[in-house]
Amino acid sequence: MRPISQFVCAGLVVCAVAALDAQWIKLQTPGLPRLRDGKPNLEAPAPRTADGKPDLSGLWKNDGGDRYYNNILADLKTSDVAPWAHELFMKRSLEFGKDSMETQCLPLGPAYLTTRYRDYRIVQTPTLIMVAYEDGMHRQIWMDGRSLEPEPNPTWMGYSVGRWDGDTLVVESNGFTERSWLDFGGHPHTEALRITERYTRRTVGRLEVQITLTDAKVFAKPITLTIPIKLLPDTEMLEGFCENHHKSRERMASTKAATVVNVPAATLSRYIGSYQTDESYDGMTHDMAVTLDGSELWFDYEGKGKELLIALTPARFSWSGSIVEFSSGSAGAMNITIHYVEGTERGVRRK
Amino acid sequence: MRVTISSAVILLLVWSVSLSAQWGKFNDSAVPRDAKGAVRMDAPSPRTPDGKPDLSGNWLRADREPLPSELAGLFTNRNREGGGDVVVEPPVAAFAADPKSPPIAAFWDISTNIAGGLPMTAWAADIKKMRMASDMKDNPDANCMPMGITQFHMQPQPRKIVQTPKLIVILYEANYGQRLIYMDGRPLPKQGEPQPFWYGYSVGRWEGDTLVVETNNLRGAEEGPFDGWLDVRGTPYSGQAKFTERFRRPTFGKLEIDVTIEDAKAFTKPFTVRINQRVMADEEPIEFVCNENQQFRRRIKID
Repeated sequence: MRPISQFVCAGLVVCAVAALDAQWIKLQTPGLPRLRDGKPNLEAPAPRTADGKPDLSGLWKNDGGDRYYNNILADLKTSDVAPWAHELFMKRSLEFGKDSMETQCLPLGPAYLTTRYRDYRIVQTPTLIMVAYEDGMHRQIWMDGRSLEPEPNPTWMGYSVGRWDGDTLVVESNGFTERSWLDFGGHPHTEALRITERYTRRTVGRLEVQITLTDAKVFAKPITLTIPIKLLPDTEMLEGFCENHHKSRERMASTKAATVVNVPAATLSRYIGSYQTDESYDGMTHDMAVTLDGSELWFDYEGKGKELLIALTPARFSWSGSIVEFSSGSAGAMNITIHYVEGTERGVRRK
Repeated sequence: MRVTISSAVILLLVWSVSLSAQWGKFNDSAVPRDAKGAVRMDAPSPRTPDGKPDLSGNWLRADREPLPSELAGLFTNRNREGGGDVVVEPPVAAFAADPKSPPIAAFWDISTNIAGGLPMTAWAADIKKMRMASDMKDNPDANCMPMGITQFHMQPQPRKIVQTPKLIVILYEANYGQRLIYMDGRPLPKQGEPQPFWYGYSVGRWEGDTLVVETNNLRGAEEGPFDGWLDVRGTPYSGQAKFTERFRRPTFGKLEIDVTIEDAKAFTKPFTVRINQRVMADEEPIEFVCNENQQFRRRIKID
């Protein structure tokens, strides 16, 4: 996600969540180690439960940016993805994500692991670890020694069993419904999806998870991602319910899909490079990279992960609904202009 | 049209019941059993290592109520075994009546068993009348929303209590409900301090073997059509409401919840009702994603 795009203001979700940020509850989280000045000591050693295991309980937030939530294959090439899966991803991109979980108030499924838009509370007991998300969803990780079911009933949140490997919590999951998308962009998965998560609490304030996704029907090889997670001290989770209403659904569903304009690779290759925008949009400069993979132009804004640029004209592209426009300047310079709902960001190619 | 809308609500509930049968059964080794392997409902209630009663487990509502007038003639032959002709409940045996119990809360209309009815203010009576006149179409239960503390306690789908010393969580199968009850000694916030939540802000403490949970800062009926519903008929509560719940687990199999509601805007005096729940051993709630196929409002063409 990013500044609000022109086509996909999934208003219910994106706008409402942003507005809530301002009203966080302030309280002194009981039990947190503190420094002399009363601030929480986030560098203190990770706490342990009565049975000696690391205690992962607490309120947490993904601190890894948007890279994998936007595109779970940010580290891969298109050729690493099965053709049917890439076609489905293209279709969803051309429709600006109108059927995504976010627009239908549905659970994010595996994408809860990569999004930073759902804070969550881990509640740890010896036989069950529960994760409560701020959107009201929850997940259960069975710690009572049971195994994964060979043929689970497919669900949005999957079926998860966990065990301790030293001080690392290892969670194995299967049984995910194919209805969920792996990322905001719309990469699909099948019921064959298996996920392994390895959680290590480094300090009071830091948790890290290494996630491996395996789905031989979609990816040529397992994908492994590492995501840093930070503790949210001295506050409490707010409810962020998504109120589903068929009228807003119908309005979104009426959004016309984009038509792909075939632009010759020679033209697209003129836009490749690293760009930097000036401060006129939000008071900061931003770096972005444009790359070409076969006949597809990909855009990586501030290292948030490669996202597809869909050609609307030879020089205008849809970036999940926001418009990215290239124009030639003097002496071979290339300019970039990004049109959001809220305003326009401008920059030039640096190399 | 009236019948159609009511049926839509009912269908949702009846469906839910059949869904709860889908998890495979497993044998929970922590459950007390007799020689034949049956769960000993009368066994002593378990305790946590710190000596508190352990309310953890999966629970089903075990109270009966008469068939509401809206459903007369629609479902009369269904689910009769067990003594009641109630269509909105799973077939769980009721407990013997407790003479000391406050009135049993009814899911359809919380006032059903209260002698003389509820002490509603004119404000509350008008809202309930309006909600009934529109066939309860805005019941948050039917609209995939959090349905309020009492509807969640009485809903026929199971709920799971996860108890830790500092936090008690109640997970509801229905509409993916999730309540957090802080047990770490923090005070109940002032009314109006955190923004009002669907579940309110809940703080709990132990009084002997009773878990006392106080909740305020709820979204009341002033907030919108889906807010402040105590029951299916839409008996409202306001944003000023304070709920006090007293949870007791007298035996392994039984949970008693007495709910007291103080809300001067909606009721001229506080009142208390009881909800009984029976443990659901060897089974788990299943995933129920209400929004997955939410057709209710479109199908019945209400807006």
